[in-house]
Amino acid sequence: MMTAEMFSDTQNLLMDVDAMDFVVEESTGDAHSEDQNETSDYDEIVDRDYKSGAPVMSLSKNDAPLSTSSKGKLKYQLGPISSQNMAYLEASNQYQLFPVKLARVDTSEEYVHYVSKLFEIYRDLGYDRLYSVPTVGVVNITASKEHAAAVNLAASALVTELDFFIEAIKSKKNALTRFFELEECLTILKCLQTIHFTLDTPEDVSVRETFIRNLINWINRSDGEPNEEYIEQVFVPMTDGKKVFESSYFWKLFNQLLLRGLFDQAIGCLDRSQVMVYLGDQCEVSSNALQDLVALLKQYPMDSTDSFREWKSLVLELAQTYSGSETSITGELRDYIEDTLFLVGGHQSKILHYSSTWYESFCAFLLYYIPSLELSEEYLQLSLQNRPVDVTSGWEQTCVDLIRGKIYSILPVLESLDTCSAAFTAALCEAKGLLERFVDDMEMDKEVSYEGIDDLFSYRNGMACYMLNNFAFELCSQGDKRLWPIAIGLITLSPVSSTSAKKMAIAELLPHYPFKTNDDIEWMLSILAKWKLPQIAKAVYVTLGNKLLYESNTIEAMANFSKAGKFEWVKRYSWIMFEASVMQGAPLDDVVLNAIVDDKGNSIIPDEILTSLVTSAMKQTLSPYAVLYRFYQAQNSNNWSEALALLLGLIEFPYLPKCYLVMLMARFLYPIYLEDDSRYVDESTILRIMESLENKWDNKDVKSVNIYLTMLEEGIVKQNTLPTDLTNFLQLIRQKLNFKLCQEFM
Amino acid sequence: MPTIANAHNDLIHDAVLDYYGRRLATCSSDKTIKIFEVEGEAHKLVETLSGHEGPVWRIAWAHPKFGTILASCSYDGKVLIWKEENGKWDQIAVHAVHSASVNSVQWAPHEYGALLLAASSDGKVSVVEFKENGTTSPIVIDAHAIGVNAASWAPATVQGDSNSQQLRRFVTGGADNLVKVWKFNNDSQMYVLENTLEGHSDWVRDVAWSPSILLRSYIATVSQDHTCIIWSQENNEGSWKKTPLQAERFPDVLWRASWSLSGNILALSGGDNKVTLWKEDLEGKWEPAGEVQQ
Repeated sequence: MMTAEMFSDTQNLLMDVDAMDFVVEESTGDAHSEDQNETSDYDEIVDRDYKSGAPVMSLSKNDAPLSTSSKGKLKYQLGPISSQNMAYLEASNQYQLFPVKLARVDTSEEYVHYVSKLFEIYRDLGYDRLYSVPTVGVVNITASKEHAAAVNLAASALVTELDFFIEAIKSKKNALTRFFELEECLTILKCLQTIHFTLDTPEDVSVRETFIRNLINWINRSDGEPNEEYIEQVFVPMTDGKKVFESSYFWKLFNQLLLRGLFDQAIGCLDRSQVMVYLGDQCEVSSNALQDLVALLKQYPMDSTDSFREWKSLVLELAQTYSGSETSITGELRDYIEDTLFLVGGHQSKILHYSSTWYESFCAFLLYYIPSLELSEEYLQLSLQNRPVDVTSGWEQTCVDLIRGKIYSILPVLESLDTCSAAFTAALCEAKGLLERFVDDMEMDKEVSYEGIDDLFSYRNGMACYMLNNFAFELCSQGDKRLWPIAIGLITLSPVSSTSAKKMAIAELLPHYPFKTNDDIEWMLSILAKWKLPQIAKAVYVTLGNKLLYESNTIEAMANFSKAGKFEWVKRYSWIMFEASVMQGAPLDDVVLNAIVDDKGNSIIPDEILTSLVTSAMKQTLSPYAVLYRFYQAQNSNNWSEALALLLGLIEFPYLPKCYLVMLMARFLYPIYLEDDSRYVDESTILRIMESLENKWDNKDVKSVNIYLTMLEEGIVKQNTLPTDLTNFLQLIRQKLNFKLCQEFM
Repeated sequence: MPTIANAHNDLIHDAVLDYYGRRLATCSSDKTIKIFEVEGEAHKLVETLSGHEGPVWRIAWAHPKFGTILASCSYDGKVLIWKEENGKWDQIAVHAVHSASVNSVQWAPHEYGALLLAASSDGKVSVVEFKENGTTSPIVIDAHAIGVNAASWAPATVQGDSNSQQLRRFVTGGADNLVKVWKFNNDSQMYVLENTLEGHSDWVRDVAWSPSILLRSYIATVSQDHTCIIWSQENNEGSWKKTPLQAERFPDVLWRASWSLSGNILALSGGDNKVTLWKEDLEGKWEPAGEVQQ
């Protein structure tokens, strides 16, 4: 919030625009070096289209200029992130790609902070985000007053945040264009706040003071006039020996400061000119009149309109007394003093005479004539007749529209300056009841009712809703995950009553969330759960699974596929791991996988993590690998009978793919138990193996053939001891089994 | 990101970033496809894919839920599907139903599965589904007699509500100066012509269906006749409203049209070597939002 000190320090209102002291010199130390890394670069814009004013960017910037002699076709593709778009030339000998940021995309830290703050302000408004006029039932007057107070406070906070944002970026090297756009935006918002968000704050004793401060703040911040250089020129001694206060320039300046409510600066000018000292010697009446004026200016009433009336009667009395008095000074100096006294007394023609802009006289009318916004249209008309709007200034016409209550017309202007400020301003205006809906009742009756509208962007939802949702979508295109909760929050809070429209938007947008950490994923899934979007959650799980697979985190990938209901995929990857393990003849080098299948528990990975990771589908599909793992353990401890029992369990597993029977036979059963005649295998085991061979072995199965040949070619099994084809291998196994069977009877 | 120099040895025809903007694929007359990894401002060439026998016109990334998959189409009449697994890129499928150059490829919204749309100079468009069991089921449609230059899917219109039916549509633009909207018929399991949009007086060079999920559909079409037309339809039914993007013709041929993620910005590139960006204003008019020049 802006502090009282900041308000009272009106000296600061004199911004020296000509000195450009807000621009950091290139040679100034740290600030410059930090700016080298700036990514938010509004000044990539090299020009403006002469007709539309749209920003023009050049591909050849910061690079050697492109050859224009050989004309190629320039093509362009918008990317999923607004800062990443690709341009390329279809031209011979120019095989370059040009990554292009969209113009007017602010990716700075300061912007993220600003957007967050504005969202907080909007969110904290709660039910006051909606404007409603109770027409039936018990009409609660207090509620409408409280609503006005809440919305006014939010508007004030918005203006303050914009002020802070400008302060934060004004010293950035590449943000000059942005700075000027935001300044213009601030001027419009200050005017809006003054005219529409101040005086109706209920039970606020300082409401008049706030209004006057806002008014003064608005017009002085808008153009920074009178600038310091001009003031200095006024005080340069005259060549003709005239004193400073004897020139019209001095009184013009003095009156300009008074018109703008810059009382301290005006008194400061008076002191510096030495006019009081001069008049003290020359004319007591004039000296007293000026001293009285200074005293009155110092006591300009901020508290109430009653005290203003008393103050104004004193000023008028002073002006009339002086006008009717004999003075020792004559001519221009007396006229100047008289003019000033009448100006402060609210004299229309004097105010208009000394005003160089329409807004100076508008401000002066409110300061010195009758301080009521009910007369604003009249003041505006008088001011504009005297000094028309400067058509080269963007904000002047907008402020005129604002004062006249044409709120709709200011929104496109604000949008062209800053979409964030525009969207939240529209939201506050709607909350205040300043924006009427486009749709008339007749149309509402004959067409679909407001509650039934399924389109987030329907014009029936109102301008604020359209702008907020549009802004939310814009935030999602920026590729900055910090802006996503704000975007989703905006869609959630959007005053569209149709939940399905919001649900549809979130379903479409959320899968684009640029997640990186587990927390990001948790957040994304929590939003999907909240909005009951299981299908999208499944798509997210599949995406995560694929990403983890790419990073070789197979188990985590399987867990995600499992959550997505992709049980076939879970099964497939389980068998792939089983196959890989058999091929290498040892457990896979995967700590997580082995911890899952290890009965004895694993100290590296806590049980609770494993429990949360392994789904029931995974438990089932990984069971063949678990048996295989125990087989390796038994093998390593030379427990051959247990190893054989486990191997037999795998061979007899009804869901074992045919090709893996060949693999288990060639890799383990034959070399360990059958090849060595001395290794004991009991009769029942032999018969069970024979039965499995009978049921499952298929010499013509392509996968079985391929897997057997691969094992031979890659030396996984001994080439010299095994036949070159499956038929002969089966014969060999049968021979060996028969031999073992005979051994059993011998 | 700095300029990527000498990306290819011949004309570059397409450059597309993936779903998250982390990978960039480019294709060229040098018959190759290049894959770059993008990390912030940096980019690194990670793979060069060879397999086409002619210039490669367009490329398209599949939704990440299908894995890291890329489709490419070429003058050789083929569409190749590439997949990266464990850091290794492989050609996993060939779609060769066309008898002439395939000018455009685009993956359907992920809700429909791994469904690819290809447009060819043989006058046909094909929609091929890559099923999980490895089989494909192509549907080939006669679209534009002289040749199809571009095709683009409509966004998936139904998400959460299981009672609603999917409205599966796409748009094609051809050398017959026409724009055609096609709709999937559940009974016949075929795509049928829903609307023929007449408005261009020369070849339609590109068509782009706005990816936004509004009830109003937007299609941008650009043409050899130096115009861009925005076609809009309310509530996904009824007639299409034709709105020229600007009253006067553009100074040269318009080659490409593309929408931003949220469908709020349209980018056009033309023969005058300027890229113009457009935005619909609050009153529904299209206004310039920027320009990129050579």
